[in-house]
Amino acid sequence: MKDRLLLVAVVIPILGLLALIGRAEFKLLDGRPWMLRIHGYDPRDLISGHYLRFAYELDWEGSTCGETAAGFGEIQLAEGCCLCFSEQSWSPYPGVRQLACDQVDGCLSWTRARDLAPPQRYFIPEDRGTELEEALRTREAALRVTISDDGTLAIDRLYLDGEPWRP
Amino acid sequence: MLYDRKLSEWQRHGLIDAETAAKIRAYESDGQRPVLLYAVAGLGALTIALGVLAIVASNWEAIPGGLKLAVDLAFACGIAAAILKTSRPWLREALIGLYYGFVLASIGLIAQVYHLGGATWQAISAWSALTFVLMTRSQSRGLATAWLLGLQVTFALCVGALIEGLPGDEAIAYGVFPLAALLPLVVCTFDQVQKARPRLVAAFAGLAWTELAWAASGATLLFYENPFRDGERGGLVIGAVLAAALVALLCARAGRLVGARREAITPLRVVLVSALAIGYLPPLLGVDDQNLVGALAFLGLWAAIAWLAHASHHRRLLNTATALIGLRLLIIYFEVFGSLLSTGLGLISGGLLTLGIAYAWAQKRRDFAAELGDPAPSAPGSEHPQ
Repeated sequence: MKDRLLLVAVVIPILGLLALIGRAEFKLLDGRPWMLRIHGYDPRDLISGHYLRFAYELDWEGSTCGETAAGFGEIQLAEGCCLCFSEQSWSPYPGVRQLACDQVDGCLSWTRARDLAPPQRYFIPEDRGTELEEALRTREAALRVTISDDGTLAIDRLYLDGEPWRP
Repeated sequence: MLYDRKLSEWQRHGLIDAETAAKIRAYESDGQRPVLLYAVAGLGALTIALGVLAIVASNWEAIPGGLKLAVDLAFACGIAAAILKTSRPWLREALIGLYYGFVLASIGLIAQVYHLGGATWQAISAWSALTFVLMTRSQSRGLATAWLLGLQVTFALCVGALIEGLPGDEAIAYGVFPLAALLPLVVCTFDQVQKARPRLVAAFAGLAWTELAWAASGATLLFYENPFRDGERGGLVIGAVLAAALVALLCARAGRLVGARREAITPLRVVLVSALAIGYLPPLLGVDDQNLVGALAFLGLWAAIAWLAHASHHRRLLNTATALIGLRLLIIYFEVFGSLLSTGLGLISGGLLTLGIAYAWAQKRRDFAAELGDPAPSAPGSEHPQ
């Protein structure tokens, strides 16, 4: 081999791509699964290019962090705060409390509030855009996500009326 | 062929004899690349690639994510193997360039398959990190330029993400961004890099000097209107201190940037210090509404660049610098005496100034060309040499 460093140079990107794939797979397998309801972020244009733009619709159980900690008005996701997830026996969706990030001990899962801030994106096939936009207006949409112990959220799949949506 | 026509013309005018013309023809024929072969081979490869792409694209949605990633990785392995196997330098460069772009596309594909909602700076940083060693193996100037641009975009996005939301974030960005042009120049001063990658050094230096010159020229507009408020100027200090340290380092190692042209060391230092002063002093001192000072700063900067170009025998840069100085002088006239333009006196003096600058520029160009050992540029309308 004329240039041994060249071998290293061409192998590094492949190893790096494998690592990125492995990390994404690990997050999906390792984390605790949750169903989170979503709605279109901008009702005029839900489908922007190849992305579905959406916002999470959380079942709030209160907030002790951020501007809405005092209990005035609708709870807003606050930068620097965390979200604590708990199961609700009467609903497939979790109850969510917003709290300071040093108070997440005891939560079944937790994630940073900014990671759920709208607009979020979900990749979709371009030619299914109109169909999905219509479905999002008329049916209940949710995402199956997994949240790992370090608070990282990974999106798994889109569900419409409880059924997985297949592109 | 183009050179055939030229050789015949030169022979007719007695500039070269038949024997010399025959030697040149023989030399050019020997050194000629099989351009047609390359073109046909390239066209064939492109057609196949487009065909594969069309098949994949038409079935894209039906392909499961895992298969997409497997095919993507197989392609990456194929390109990697081809880079290792080829003995043709031009093909290896083309494949490295392809691989460089392919890694970015692959990161995008992974993000798509796994619905990763991360920020752009994270994807670009991963790309730059994964391809760093690869790009150090490239030998061509074009790839080195593309690499430096990629690194600079990565730097800008990372800085943007790091300072987002901080008070005075625009001032911090303004202060820190010039480092993206100064750091490559520092890289160019290392002997090992100069010996191992002369084209990379040429590419880095060319792009970095161009960016510095235009950034400093743009910064002279701050003399006209300063966009930073009093409370924001603190953000400039970090960048200013780092930039000053790098400029000091470059001044100390200026000899390694000029090669054998030792007489270019002083003008190079003057250009560096001028660019630093013009870039940072007006925003730091809160200078505002100093139009004439701004114009003089521009003239001073480009005069220093012209001096550097002259000392380093860089003809094209010298011509650019002198032309910009002339153009700026005209703009100063319009800025200062704009109100006179509505009168005949204003138009006459403006026209005379334009002619004077054009005449002085043509004269000076000829002097410079003679000094640099080139044939003097022929005056417009002069006869072709017989």
